[in-house]
Amino acid sequence: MSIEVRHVSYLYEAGTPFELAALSDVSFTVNGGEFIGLIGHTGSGKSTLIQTLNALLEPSEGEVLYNGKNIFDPEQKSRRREIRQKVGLVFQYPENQLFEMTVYKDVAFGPHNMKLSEEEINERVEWALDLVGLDKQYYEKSPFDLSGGQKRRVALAGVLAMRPEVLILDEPAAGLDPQGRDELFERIAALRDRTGMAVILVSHSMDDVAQYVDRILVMDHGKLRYDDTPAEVFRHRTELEEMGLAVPELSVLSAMLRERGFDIPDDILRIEDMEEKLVELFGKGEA
Amino acid sequence: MLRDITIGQYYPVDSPVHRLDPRVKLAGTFLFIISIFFVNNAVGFLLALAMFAAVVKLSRIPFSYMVRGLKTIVILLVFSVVMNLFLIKDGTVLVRFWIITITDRGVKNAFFLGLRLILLVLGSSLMTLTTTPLSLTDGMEKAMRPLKKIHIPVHEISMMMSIALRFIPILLEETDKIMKAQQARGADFETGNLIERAKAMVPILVPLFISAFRRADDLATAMESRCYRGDSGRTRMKELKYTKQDRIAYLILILGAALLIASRFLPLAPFLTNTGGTI
Repeated sequence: MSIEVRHVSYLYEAGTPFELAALSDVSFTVNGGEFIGLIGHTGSGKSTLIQTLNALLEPSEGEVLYNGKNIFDPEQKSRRREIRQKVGLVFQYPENQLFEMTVYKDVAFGPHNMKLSEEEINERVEWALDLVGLDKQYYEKSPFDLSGGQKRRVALAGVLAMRPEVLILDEPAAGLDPQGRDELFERIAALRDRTGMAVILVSHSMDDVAQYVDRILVMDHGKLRYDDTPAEVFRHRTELEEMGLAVPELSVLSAMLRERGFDIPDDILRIEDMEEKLVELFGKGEA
Repeated sequence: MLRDITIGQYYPVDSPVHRLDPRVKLAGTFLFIISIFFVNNAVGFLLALAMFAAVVKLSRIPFSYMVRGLKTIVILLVFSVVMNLFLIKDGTVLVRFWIITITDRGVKNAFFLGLRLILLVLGSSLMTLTTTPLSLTDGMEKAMRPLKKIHIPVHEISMMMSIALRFIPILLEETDKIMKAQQARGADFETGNLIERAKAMVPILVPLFISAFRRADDLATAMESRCYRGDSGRTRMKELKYTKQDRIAYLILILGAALLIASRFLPLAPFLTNTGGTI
């Protein structure tokens, strides 16, 4: 599986006074199984970019290839629907898209649209709801009676039930409390390990994604500024701050310690690793 | 696709038309619509078109942008033109084919009706394009103030209007978002027969209604928490006052309307006039 984005540009409302270049000349490739963080300030073009990846928005210029084939081929309009199943997109506040009478039916909406057999639909719905941690007692409940976090998990299951090869999540933690956020990210990481699908996590916060992803794309004013491992990206602290992005607190801490002459690597992104390193440096008693 | 709807949208440029008092534009639009119904011959329509084009030019709104607003009434337009073309049986027969009869009266009626509809829609969209919803409802409230004497809740009506206008773009955006979210789950709005397409609307309408109610609720709470009590004791930051330009505009408007109505009484060759009353 691969998605190749080639020189993609996108103009909103071209030819009116509202014209706005949301993307300009963006190129990168997503390979199977990758875990990518897509970071950018509000209005940097992240949301527009991900909508071009699953054929919802046709770029003004450039092309998007899925397994080497142009997904916007005008000869093959039906390919777009196929792509939307392969590239699962979970929008921001996905709970706002729920509409069915029961949780089960809502999750079945995607597989149903794929015209699968009843057994296949049943199997996928159970699989998807199990992945997000909702058991049988929720199947017949109305999605509108659930809590906010549960609604979001139902919506996530609705996309997972299509068994996408790439899962794109737009600000999945928006509006959740810190505990809910950690739980969700852990769940997504576990989900990726279990299914082997590629995951693109869209966020404006480095802290959210730093410890999970192995590659970070940084967007700024419609341009792709960095495409590298988290540790590499976080070396550009001043540039990131100019874009209105803060580097994770742990990177700041290790950078400050290095400035004071301590020998500490700059790729520590998990709190547990940092703890271990600090204990090693300063010793348990003194710290 | 939804972005093509220009009715009710404001086009932010600075022009003499934009700067006019909203009451002038309201009255102007009203006069224009009435005069259009009086016009019944080619000269009158040419005159109306010329006047309208002059105002558009003055308003600095690109013509192509205005015309995009017509997309939304294409079906209505085609329907009424076709109806007139085929259903009017009197007059000289031009074409007779199978069960279709087209007469000169029918052609004339269809043509004038089409023009009239286009001018009506363009005329009223010119008002919303050059006036922010806020000043539009302000103007409406002030113009209707005398009606308060007979206990018509003028302020409440205009507040409702301004909220409704304000929410059009928000709900459109919301619809767009929900449509995309359902498309991402494989929903198909473009193919299938009428019933299938109607069914395909459910996944859009349910979330849309829920969010509309939630927004209304939030708005009510926000207004109440800022002590909104309707009209009583409310003052304005920008009081509407007529300027010299507004008075001149009124004069021009009345003159234009008079001209349009007068065109009705021109002695013209019968093939240029449309005496049929069908709409």
